[in-house]
Amino acid sequence: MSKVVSFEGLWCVFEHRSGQLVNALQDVTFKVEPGEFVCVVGRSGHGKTTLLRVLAGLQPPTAGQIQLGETVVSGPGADRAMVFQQDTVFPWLHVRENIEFGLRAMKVPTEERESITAHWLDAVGLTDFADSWPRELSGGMRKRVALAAAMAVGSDVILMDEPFGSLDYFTRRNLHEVLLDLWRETKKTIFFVTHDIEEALILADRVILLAEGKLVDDIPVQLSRPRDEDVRASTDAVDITKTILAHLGITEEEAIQG
Amino acid sequence: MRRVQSPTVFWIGWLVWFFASAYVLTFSSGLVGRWRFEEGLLYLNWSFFVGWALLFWAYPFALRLADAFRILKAVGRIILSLPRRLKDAVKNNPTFFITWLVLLTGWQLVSLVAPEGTLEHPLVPGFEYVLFNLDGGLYRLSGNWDLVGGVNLPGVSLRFGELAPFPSLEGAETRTWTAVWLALGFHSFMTLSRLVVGLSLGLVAGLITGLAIPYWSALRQISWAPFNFLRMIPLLAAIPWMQFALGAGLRATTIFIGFGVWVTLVVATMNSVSNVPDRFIESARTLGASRLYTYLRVIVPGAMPELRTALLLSGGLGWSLTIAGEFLGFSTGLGFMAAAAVQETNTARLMIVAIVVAFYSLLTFYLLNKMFNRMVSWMPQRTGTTDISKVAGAAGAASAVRVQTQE
Repeated sequence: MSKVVSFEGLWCVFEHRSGQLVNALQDVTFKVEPGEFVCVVGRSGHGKTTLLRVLAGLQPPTAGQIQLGETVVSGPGADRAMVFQQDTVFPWLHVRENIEFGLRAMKVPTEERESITAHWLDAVGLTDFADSWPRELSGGMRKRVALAAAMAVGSDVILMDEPFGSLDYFTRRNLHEVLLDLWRETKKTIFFVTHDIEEALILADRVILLAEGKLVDDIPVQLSRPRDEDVRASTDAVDITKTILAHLGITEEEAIQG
Repeated sequence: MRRVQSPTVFWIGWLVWFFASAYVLTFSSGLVGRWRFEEGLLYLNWSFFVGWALLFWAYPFALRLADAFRILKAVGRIILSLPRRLKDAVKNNPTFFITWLVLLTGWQLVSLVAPEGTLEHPLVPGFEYVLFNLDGGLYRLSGNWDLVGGVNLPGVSLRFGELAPFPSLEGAETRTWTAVWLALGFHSFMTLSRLVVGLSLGLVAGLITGLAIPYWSALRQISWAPFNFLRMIPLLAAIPWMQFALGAGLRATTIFIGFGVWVTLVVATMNSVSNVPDRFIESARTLGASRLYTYLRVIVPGAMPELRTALLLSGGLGWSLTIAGEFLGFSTGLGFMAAAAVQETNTARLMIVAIVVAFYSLLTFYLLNKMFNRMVSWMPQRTGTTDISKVAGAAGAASAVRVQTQE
């Protein structure tokens, strides 16, 4: 069963090689309800990935804590599977073995493991490529493998760190649809880090805005789904975009100019 | 006879039969009457080897008749296809053959013009001198057929005098071509047995140690400096010390080769492990893998591409150490043959030994490469057809500009 994720007074301070202290996260506090799709938006270097890494248990906080239900996060675990920005599909395993990697690690019985793997292969449309090597797949297909591997371990919470950033527009849009279908089917809580406001508008129930490591706004995205071109061009969507841009210190003209 | 099902049992059985059949023949000397076995001494002759070969091949024919015929047919096909393969190779890679032709022709030309010098043998011998001259290179190797004292095995002492006379004992007039091939065969066997045992020990110990140490960070920190220090010790300088400490036998050489390969491989393995990208490790951990599972299923396979190179280089190092060890302190092996040639200042003889060593070394590299390639079959494979100069950097840009200009 999904659990509430609570961030309580989270600080993360790094020491730069020069000796200078960098506050990657500063007193970040918020709660996420089970099944929510949360996008964490901010400029590069403003703490988005650090927030996700602390939640994944890959980075200990300097102060504060994250709770998953009643449990304090103290290290990595399959209850918070993560899809990374870089390609993390294991090149020495076939597609099927990649998806069942976590299940094998957790010693799930063979029959159950095979059934779960077959389900997720089908869910991401890779059944015909089950016995392929990752090198034989396109970038988008490899992202689907990573997504299926994360989903297959049965996490309540899925963490995604700019997973589609390196893909072309059409592949990214296709993967948005795949992800939203899986989210609707599984009702998992999803944390999705992105710096792309349009992507956040397509996916999120809620946008958490980070600037210089501080939570500067928590914006509900109450747009109807599916969020096609018309929905994204609606007044509500434009208002959300303007709010985000204002917080990020970017004028509309600057955003248009790129 | 019923077919032996398990391939492992079959192969191990064949290996056991290889030794057992020799003992069967030894103790049946009275029955056969073609060789002598008296008072624990076996006087080997060619009849014994023919009998041994027949018994050796009887094993697969008895247990796997169809497979044995199939293998013989396959070998026959390969031999018959050799001229076609050679023709294809020349057609596909003419540069390789032209380079060799130029080198060999160049050597022959130099041998004609180089001064003869004051020594017994020419400094730059031509191919006739190296291969066919009775005072030259190959034929003089018969002097290395010197197993006068025989070889002691459990329960039997081998005597070799009936195979060919020993020129070192009976004088230069007893040199024979048989002795040449026997010398090459015996010394090759000694070198290869040292190499196989030493290299196997070094590879296994190096891999186990190199993979075990990084798992415990404290152990990694403690051992990094000592291992790098050991790696820096000139191994050739350690040969006399090894002989002093362990004697000049098979055990000493094996330990020496094993030690050299082990130290190098430990450092290389530790490097390979530390170069596995963090993202794979972190991904595995967030998928619920324990530390040990991540190490065995992610870090070890992730280190394989780099480790494969280290393993191949270890094969080369094993050869260097074997030859160097034999060169400096042993009375058997190809290294000893090289040392004997140097003492005689016989470049031709040295060339033959060098060619034999290069052949074995290439064969070892080929076999190790085949074996280790299976570990990284998942890696993108180069087809070998890409011309790097046409796709990389400035060369590619330059040719693109040329094409545009021409258009």
